[in-house]
Amino acid sequence: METILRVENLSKRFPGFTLDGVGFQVPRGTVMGFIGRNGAGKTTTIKLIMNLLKRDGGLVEVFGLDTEKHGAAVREKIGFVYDELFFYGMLTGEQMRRAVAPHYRGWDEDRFRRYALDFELDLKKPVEKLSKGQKTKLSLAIALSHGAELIVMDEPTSGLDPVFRAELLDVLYAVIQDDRKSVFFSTHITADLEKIADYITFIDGGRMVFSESKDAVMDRYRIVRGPAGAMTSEVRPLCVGTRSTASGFEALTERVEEMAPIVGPRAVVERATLDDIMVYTAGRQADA
Amino acid sequence: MRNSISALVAKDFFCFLREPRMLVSTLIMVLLCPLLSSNPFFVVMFCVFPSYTMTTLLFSYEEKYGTDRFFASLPVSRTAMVAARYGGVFLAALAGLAIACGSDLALVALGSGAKPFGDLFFLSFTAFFTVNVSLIIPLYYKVGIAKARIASLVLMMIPAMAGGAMVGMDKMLPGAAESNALASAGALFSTLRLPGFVLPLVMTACLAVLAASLLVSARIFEAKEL
Repeated sequence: METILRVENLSKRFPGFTLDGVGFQVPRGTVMGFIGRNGAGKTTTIKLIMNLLKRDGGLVEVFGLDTEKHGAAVREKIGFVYDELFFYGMLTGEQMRRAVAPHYRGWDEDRFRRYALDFELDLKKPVEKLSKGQKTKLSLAIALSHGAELIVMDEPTSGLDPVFRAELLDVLYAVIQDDRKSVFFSTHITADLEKIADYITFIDGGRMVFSESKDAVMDRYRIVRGPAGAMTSEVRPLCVGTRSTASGFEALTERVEEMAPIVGPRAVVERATLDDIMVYTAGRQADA
Repeated sequence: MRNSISALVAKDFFCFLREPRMLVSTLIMVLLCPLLSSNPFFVVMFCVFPSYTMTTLLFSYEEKYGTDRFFASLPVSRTAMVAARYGGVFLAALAGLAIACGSDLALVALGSGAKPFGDLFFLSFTAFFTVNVSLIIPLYYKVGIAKARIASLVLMMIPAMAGGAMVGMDKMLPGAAESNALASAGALFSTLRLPGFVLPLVMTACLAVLAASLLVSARIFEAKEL
């Protein structure tokens, strides 16, 4: 499958924070979820992809082009949605369109109007009078109206209600139906990704935890619950992370076949959610 | 590239015109213009005023709304973004210049006794505008709005007002030129005639300074992390 976005060994140093060794690939026609807790380096990675920050090391290629050398050409093919709308609050959506459209050779006015209608956008309203959801929809309408083949979104659903989030996922689902477009979607609301993502990249503390297909991740991890006495020195190394509960313990493991027999018949085994994986793995990374 | 720059300049003017303070200030200056138009330095101030306000406003908005981040994520080079900013400020100054010249011509036509602007006026305008813009815009990119705003006030508005007061002293206080050295120098300056080659020479030098300033600003903005 053709790779649309390739990130290799990406690094960026700030005082007090270092992004190091981040790497992943987004194949064409897929949705990549990019997860990590607040401050993990998600926005930094996205800014490096968009060339808003200068990288200290590594490689970022979009459609095979280095983003530092071919910035404008690469951005022509990217639809970018920030976590908030960085636009002049006193200008209207229509004025925003007039300021943005001439920069794109592939701007499709009819498509923009259609999205504006579907999203029930009032283009005569000043941007600062729009709700958070409306601002995200306006950003999305722009991102989807110039034939972008890669949609990059930085926490687009944060602070939005479940109904809007469901609508957004429907739109993204429709976007990837032609198998030509890919979506790179950063969020810490992992439930959204469980519905739509094909791949998951997880970073923590500026470092890679994993990047692989969602199905492989979901198949590998299990949550095991058991009585407190069952958390023995034999069981502990088999866990990615553990926590005590009122009735005993809860643990995330990649080795459920080995762990379940040791814990015994009182073990309760469930599929782990991405939230579970993030919480327990991030805890382990912090301990390390 | 040309479409991008035009769109960015147009966007700057949308912002500028949505700012009520700017419109009121311009209106005040337009009302004052007929009174001051026989004084080249005051008119220079009037011409420079829109570009000064526009520069300050646009950089303030950029800081407030984070719009530089937004535009840097579009397929437009950062050099084009900087060039558009210079273009917008230059057009704002030209608009001021057009209004100043228009009002001066109107006063002359009405027989107010005012003299039409001569080469001194254009020289003052060109030098004053280009040198100030060339210093101030890179400062905005380099040190941010708070410090650059003070610098622009010191470099642009205070000299313009002081110059205007000096040149206009003899008109405001008849006979001042005979008793006061500053007023005398001001009166001499406002009536001075220059050799024909000076104006194009100064204009060329100013354009070179402006071009160098644009390159410096583009370099600063290219290196900026958004």
